[in-house]
Amino acid sequence: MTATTHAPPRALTAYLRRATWGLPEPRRQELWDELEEHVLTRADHLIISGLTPTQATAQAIRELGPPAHVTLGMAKVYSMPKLILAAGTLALALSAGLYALAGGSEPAVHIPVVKGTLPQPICQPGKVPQEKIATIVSQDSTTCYIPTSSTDLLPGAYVSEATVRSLAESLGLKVTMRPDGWMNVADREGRMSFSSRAVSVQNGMHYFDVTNIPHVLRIASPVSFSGFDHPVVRTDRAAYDLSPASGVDVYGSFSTVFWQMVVRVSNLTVNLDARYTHVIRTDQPEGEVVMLTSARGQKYAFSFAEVKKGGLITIPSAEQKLRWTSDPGKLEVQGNVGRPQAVLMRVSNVPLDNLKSGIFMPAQATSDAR
Amino acid sequence: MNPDLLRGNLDLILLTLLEQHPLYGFAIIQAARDRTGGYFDFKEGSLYPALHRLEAEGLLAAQHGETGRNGKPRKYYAITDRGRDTLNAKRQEFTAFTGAVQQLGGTGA
Repeated sequence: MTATTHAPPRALTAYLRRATWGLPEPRRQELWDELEEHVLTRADHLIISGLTPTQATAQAIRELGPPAHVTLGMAKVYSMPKLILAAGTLALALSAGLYALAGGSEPAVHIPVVKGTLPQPICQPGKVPQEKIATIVSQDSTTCYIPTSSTDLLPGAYVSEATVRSLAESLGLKVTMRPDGWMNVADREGRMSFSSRAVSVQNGMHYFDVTNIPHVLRIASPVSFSGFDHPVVRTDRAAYDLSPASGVDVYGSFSTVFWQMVVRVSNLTVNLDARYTHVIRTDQPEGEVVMLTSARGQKYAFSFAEVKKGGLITIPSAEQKLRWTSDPGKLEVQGNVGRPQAVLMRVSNVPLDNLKSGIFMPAQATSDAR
Repeated sequence: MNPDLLRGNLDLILLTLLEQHPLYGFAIIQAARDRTGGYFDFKEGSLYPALHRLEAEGLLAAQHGETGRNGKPRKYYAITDRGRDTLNAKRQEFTAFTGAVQQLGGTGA
């Protein structure tokens, strides 16, 4: 026997993440070590029989079977909560592709997204005014409560803390939840992290905006988006279906991130006005998602639309008249007068870290709203 | 062999394999294959949840062994006294069942 160790192959790490999905940390590490040892030992045997190390690892993983079978088997042993079992079911969707990691097709994962309105909690230091209390959702030096007024209901698409946590932990990320509703997700080395505040609390469970999912995914690996009515976030490992969230829910909340990937803007103020409608002819394929960005005096307006048949886009804008440019840097320096320059950029099926390559010019140099 | 038969008797098989001395996961699979001429061919992914379940039920106990290929101590599973009692009970159950099936075959001949 040899005690020589080496960095585990990427395919093995991905398999182990899925197989140990949602387990309590001590159990997760224990099973991780067992399965890793199993695959490496079996791979050694296969290498002796003539396979290359890559082939041997892939074969050893295949012999272990779909990772979701392990996940669900373990979930039954440790009586994990229903939400984690749901995550196990979610992992089941991953299994097909991961089972054939050495070149299998892309697995699809459906993220449980809650679409609708949620009451927005108010957090403040000290005590809650008694007349405003509906429900106290946490008590610490900061107190959060859900107000009784229905005007505070927040429409949108949300994911629960359990969903975000299951996803993040399956990717090997560390999740820290603070009593005041802030959650931090970071990689183990602490190189990349993301913080977000819960938008609501229901039955003791924090809920976050759906855009937390792509934010979490991009800590672990490069991502790209696709689909408008049924938005999907892709990594090199899997596709994450965010339905019933719509393109408006996902892309709209991600607009500043998209723009910051293209050009570094020091002070980005967003104009939510979009009273005009432009119909633009492009050479973009049907079904792709396009982002329109215009700016006046460093106040940016973003809007999104799906490309229809013949490359046509019907897209809202804050501006009645637009002039297209392929240079995003020009938007920051333009003033408040004249026909403002604007950028059209395909944001679907373009890697987020190379989003600039999605910038295109339409058939006409300018556009007047309909 | 019929995988349902393997699944239905998994506890009996695992406890039997560990009756003589503790083994770790990969060695359990090898022992099952070697001792039955390849008749028992586990789907490895189902083995580990079963081992963890038997451990949680107190029929097996974990022990740390030598360093494995990943540089961590191998997890050995050892049968407990309660596990031996369960093994005996399951053996009697299985013997009674197979005996009854053989009797059925005998009367039908």
